[in-house]
Amino acid sequence: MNTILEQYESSKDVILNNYCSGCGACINTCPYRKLNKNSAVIIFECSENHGRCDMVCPAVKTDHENLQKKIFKSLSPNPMGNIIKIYKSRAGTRFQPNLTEKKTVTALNCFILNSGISKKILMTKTGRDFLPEPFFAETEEEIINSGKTIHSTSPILSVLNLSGEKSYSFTGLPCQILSLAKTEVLEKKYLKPFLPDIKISLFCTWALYPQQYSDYLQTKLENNDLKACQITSGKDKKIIFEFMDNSKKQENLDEIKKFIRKSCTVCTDLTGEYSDISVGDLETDNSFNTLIIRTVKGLELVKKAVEKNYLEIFPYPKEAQLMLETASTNKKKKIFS
Amino acid sequence: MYSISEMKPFEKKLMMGNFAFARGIIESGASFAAGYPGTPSSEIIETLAQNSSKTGMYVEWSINEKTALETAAAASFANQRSVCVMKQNGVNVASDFLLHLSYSGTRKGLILIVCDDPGALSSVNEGESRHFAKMLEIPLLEPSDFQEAKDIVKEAFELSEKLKSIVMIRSVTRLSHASGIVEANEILKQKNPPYFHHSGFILDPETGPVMSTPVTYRHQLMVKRMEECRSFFKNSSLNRYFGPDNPELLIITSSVDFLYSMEAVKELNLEKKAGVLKLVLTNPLPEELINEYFLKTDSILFTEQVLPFIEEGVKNIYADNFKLDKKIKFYGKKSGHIPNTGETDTNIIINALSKIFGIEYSNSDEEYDKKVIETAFSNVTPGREMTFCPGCPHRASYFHLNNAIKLDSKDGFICGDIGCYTLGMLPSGYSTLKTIHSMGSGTGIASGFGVLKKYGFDQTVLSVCGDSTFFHSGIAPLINAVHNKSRLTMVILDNSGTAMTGFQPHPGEKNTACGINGTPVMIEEITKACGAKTHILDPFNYKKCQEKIPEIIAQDNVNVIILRHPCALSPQRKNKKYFEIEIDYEKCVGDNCGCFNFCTKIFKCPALFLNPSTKKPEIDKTLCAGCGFCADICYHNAIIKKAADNE
Repeated sequence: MNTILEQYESSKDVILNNYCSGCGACINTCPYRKLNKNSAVIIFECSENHGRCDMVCPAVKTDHENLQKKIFKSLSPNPMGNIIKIYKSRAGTRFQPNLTEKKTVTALNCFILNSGISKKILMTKTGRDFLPEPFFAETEEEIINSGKTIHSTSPILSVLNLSGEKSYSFTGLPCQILSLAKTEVLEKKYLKPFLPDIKISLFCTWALYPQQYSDYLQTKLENNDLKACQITSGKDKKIIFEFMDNSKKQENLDEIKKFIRKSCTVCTDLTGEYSDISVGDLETDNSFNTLIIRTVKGLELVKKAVEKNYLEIFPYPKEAQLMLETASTNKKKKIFS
Repeated sequence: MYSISEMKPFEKKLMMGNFAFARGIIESGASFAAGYPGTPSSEIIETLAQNSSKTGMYVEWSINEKTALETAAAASFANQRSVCVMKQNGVNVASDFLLHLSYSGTRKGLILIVCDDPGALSSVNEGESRHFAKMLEIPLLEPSDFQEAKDIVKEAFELSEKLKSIVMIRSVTRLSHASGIVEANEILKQKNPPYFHHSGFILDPETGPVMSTPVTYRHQLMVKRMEECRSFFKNSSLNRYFGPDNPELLIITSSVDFLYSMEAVKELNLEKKAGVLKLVLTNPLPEELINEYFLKTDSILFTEQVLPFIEEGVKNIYADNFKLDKKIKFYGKKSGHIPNTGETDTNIIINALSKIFGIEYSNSDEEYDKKVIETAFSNVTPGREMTFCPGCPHRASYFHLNNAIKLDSKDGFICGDIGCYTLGMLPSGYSTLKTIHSMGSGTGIASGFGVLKKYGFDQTVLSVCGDSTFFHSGIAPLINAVHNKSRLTMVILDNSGTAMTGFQPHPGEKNTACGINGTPVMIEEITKACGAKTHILDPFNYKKCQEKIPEIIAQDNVNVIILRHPCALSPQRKNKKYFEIEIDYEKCVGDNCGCFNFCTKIFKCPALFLNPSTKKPEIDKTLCAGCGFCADICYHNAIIKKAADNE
């Protein structure tokens, strides 16, 4: 059962108390707010009490029962939210040998573009100074090249508000997916962007302040460009920096944990409960992803992607499901305690 | 407009107090005048400058008050009658030199006219300049009406020449800026070739070097000089008394309070009971004269502006008078009969007198007062907040600065300074100014904040400084900041003139007070030479400012941003619109979320107003200066600007 954990009535309070998730949902909709490298910023005080910004902010109090009923037509008893199917998955044979890793999201997004479901994918890539850069991918190449892991949040919804884009799908974090759900049920009087055809959520336990993380990464460079950084699975987690010359360096994860967004410490959503499809790691086998299908639309997409060899799916291990359920519950519990 | 220099002797004109001073200066044959603009003093130098082609007088707007006084002193040293003019704050700036000038003495007559601003009608303080006269031991004269304002100048020159000392004249706003009838006198011709004699004996006041040493010797002369001054004024016709021979209550007053006191006495029909002694020399006080009046009355009321200057002086004389065998009751600021702060006026004195005499007096109509309060606090009258003029570049500048500070998100702030842009402390400047003190202080304070980074201070520090203020006292703190590796952004709001006081030229401009032959000193050349990274932007270039300013203020050193655009009321912009502004009501979302009438609620240009029935903004075409900035800030591109035809 999802319960309301967000404490704030207005997005202004969210910002002033540093609980902004940096999703960008309130940006580019009015002249009162702007975005700096980390968060939404109030440039001028607005005296509108129930503004669009308050309605779509993921950190403003959410009536989850109501929202679930509106989005899924029913309430889910599962701590991971509404689930139609759950699989272990990886990119299909179509991509071999180019994509050797699990890459479920990349595979799904490529399929969305190539099958004409959407013309563009709104996603995030690593930009200048390792700052996340939201963009509309229009080719398979762009999708594949953006596939670096980014540990910081991206103001992806601010780009959406500005674009006027009609045919696109979306890949983002649970907080961003929540904001899109809130946007979907927004009353008619508010201006709203066109909603995505397919919403894919990435699992998320926490994310970092982009500017602080970027500043930190700069200190690790030593005249060598960074290729990727990965967090190891299992206990005693490490972050591994892989450089362009293929040299590697590792640090204790605590080093970067100090850059975790304050909003992540109160977030209850591990798997992106308002998505069509949610994808994350599979704790029991690092060569596969976990794939949660929440909507009929999502189910159709996965079926077709499998048919066309974009994706491979396998039955989900029982013990993994138990672990994921526990992790989801714990994320909610942790906030309460 | 008549020219005050062309008035014939005995010709009478209605004129402002400051014109009367100017006429007095011309009549005295002064050949040198210097000052720094500041309300309520500016018209004196301005008038002298306007008349300079006829009078032949050298008139300058100096870089600041200290330099003004120094240049004027030089003229005195070179045997020329000379005058220096400033507002009350100016004396603070000039006081360092003034102290030493008091010691060194002067040669040809030198007077300092100071216009105080009781009630701070256009100041950020109601400082008292009179105490400088006392502290620095120089004679002080306070004229009380317009004729006297003119006549006293000549007296002051004569006193200065007799005592070989600078003489200070203090005016107040209500004398400088009110008008009365003034009768002209002859214009004296002073034709001494300027020459500075400096080779004589060191102590020779006429031919020796001019300096404040030997100190104790000179100080003795100063004490003697004040005694001389006292006797000089003992029988002066300028000290006047009106009233019965032995008044129940003696009012001792000076300056404009003389007229207020006379009016109050008349209003309460106290002519037979109360007398008014008007003093013109208030430092040193005419001791003998005051002692004579102690014998004539048992109670004394002091009426004067701001601090109890005369009150304390007279009480000192009373305490020193061992022969006097009577107790006098004193009323004034100490007793609470006259307020300690703000301007005095006739009503205040009427209230004091009615309290002292136990008279029931009401000078107001109760019903009228009630109506006034009702109207003020109901919604009938709209709020009238002080704001920038339509088309003012400062409104645009603050829009950008607020944007940059907020984006920077380090709880940044601006250290304010003195000029129109002081209004940045109010909503029209998005309340971005968080400190406001004296001229140049903004950058000095910012320099101090900026070095606190040593202790982990991380807030973003900006200062604003006007172009005239920059020359006046903004350069030294900038150098200080650079030298000490402070971290700040100094924003020079360059609107091409000393706009607040009426476009007096400053050293950055081509023209001087009387001509057009000055050498402009470029602000950016100075800031670059100081070692500050200097950026020049036009505040009306919306896109560039929005992009650049946040980048600049984030840089961890001393940055200078010159936001340059002439004032909307400046001669080059007045009555000229860049754009005609229209509103596209199809695009305007008005009160809806997504704008919420941003232009009238936040941007608040007076030429944009909210039509209460349509709940949409409208342009007041009469007020609109056509700067086009509102079109840039409109989020829905509903404000349209079209190039204006200024033919």
